[in-house]
Amino acid sequence: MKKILLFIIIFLVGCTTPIGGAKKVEDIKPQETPSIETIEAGLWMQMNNYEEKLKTSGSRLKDRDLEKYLKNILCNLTPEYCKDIRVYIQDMPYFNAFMAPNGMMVVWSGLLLRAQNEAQVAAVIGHEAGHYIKRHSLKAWLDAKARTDLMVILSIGLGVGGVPSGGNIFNLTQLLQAGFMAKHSRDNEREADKIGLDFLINAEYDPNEAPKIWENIIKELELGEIKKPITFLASHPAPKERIDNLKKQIKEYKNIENKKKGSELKEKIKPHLRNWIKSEIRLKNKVEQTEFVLEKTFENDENEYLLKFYKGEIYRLRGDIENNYNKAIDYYNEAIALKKDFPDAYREIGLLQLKIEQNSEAKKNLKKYLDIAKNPNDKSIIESYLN
Amino acid sequence: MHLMKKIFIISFFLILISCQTKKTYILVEPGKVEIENIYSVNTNKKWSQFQDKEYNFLFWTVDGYTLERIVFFKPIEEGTSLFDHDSFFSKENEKRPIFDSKLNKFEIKEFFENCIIWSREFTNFETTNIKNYKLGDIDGVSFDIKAQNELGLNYKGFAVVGIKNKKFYSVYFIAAEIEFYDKYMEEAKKIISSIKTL
Repeated sequence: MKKILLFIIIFLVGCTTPIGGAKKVEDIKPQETPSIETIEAGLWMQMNNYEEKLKTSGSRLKDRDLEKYLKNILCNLTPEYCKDIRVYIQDMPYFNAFMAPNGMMVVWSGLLLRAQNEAQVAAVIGHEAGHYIKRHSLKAWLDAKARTDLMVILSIGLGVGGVPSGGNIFNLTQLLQAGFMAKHSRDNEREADKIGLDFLINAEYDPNEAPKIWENIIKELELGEIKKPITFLASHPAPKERIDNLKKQIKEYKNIENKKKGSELKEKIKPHLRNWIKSEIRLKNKVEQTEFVLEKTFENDENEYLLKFYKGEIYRLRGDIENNYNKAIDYYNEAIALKKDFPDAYREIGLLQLKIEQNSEAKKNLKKYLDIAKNPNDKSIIESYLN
Repeated sequence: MHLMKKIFIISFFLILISCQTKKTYILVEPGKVEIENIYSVNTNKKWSQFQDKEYNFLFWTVDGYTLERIVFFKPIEEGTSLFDHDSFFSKENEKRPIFDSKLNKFEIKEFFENCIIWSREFTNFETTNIKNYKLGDIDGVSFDIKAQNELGLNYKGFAVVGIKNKKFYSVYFIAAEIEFYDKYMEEAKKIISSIKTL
């Protein structure tokens, strides 16, 4: 028992000191590339291979204009590192962005759907650039390697001390390892947040938009199936913790009133909105969660009728349970109230009314659809329902 | 010597037994072909037919699955999905698209599309140009497909889907846009339009 305690004390003391020389890692300089013999060069090589695949991948969004727009945001935030960081968009309906050590930044479409303005996207891009500048991937790798070595020693030590290695002990060491690594990662995240805020303010963006994107994520999580993100083992700080840190940091800045939020984002993502919303609805998250995402997407948008229409779509796609069809019809009608000549809403109402056997009303709405849409591609199918 | 003879005979029988195991690919000759007692179709070309009891479909190909294929799904019943395997993301298993026999013509296209997207076979999958279509005696729709896989290979194709006796029937053709779509599109159209339900 004494031996076990001794090893645990040695282990904990070890954890209070920097591991793997991570603290010695200096910021990467603009246009710097690692020497070929270093571990970092190996990480770059791996990520260069990944990046080559991503360039032609089917999951990469085919919109160079939008990628260029994000790249311009980056260059505006940090002109020094503009040449070093490439920005790619992946068509993935989840909130995510990540930074590779070689300068490859990837933003998922789910994040762009959720961001309410350019300043919020800039906050994420600035944060990710912070990871690159501070070489966080390399630090995380060095720490992981050092900890893995320490865990082996600990496992052997516990074995010598009379506790069989493997089984629960193995799980325990893994758990501890994950916990400490997560903490280190959270420190990196805080550091990247600070850099991101500096960039935002230098580029004249409103820093108050940075915590807002996280506030929305918290709200979305609360409405969803997973009420609380796992904080201890999460690689990112809990959103609540992150918001508090960001707000605390913002208070340290002066003259931050009347900064820009940026209005171009909504226009830039417009060509993809329909597909992204369809992908979001297809996730079949809780209705309240999806409604919240859509409400934020269309907040302050002049096309409120589209919000109503897509809310109708959420219910229609869930099938004929819990009065979904009537709820969908109500939303489609709200869309029509906001935009009288919106053909799609008439079509959906008509098709749903056929299902719930309101045939004469259905035919009226389908005819109205054909009148407004003027020779639509699906005319023959609609007519097959009218005859 | 006696032992060698025994080993030889046992080996010979083992080889014969192994030849009796399920055939994954069989050759389809030109002419009238019956598919799983569900459809009969006519083909002018030879195709390789892939079939496996584990899967809810079989497909025909000449140059290989990733280059071109005609996929015949077995009919599925109310409350089931086109793909019954587990998703790589286990959380998504319970969210697989479920067939409802009351779906309208637009929704059966949507259901097919959602199933293919759920299977993650393609990173992009779009359908356009929906039209009324008779799949044998089944009232349904046809539509065009554009897709892309993870490696970035572009695909084109078309699908025909319909509902009969509360069951969902679907067949699609897809091929690499470069070379293979043009090479097989006409023949695939002839084959699919020759479908009769059994």
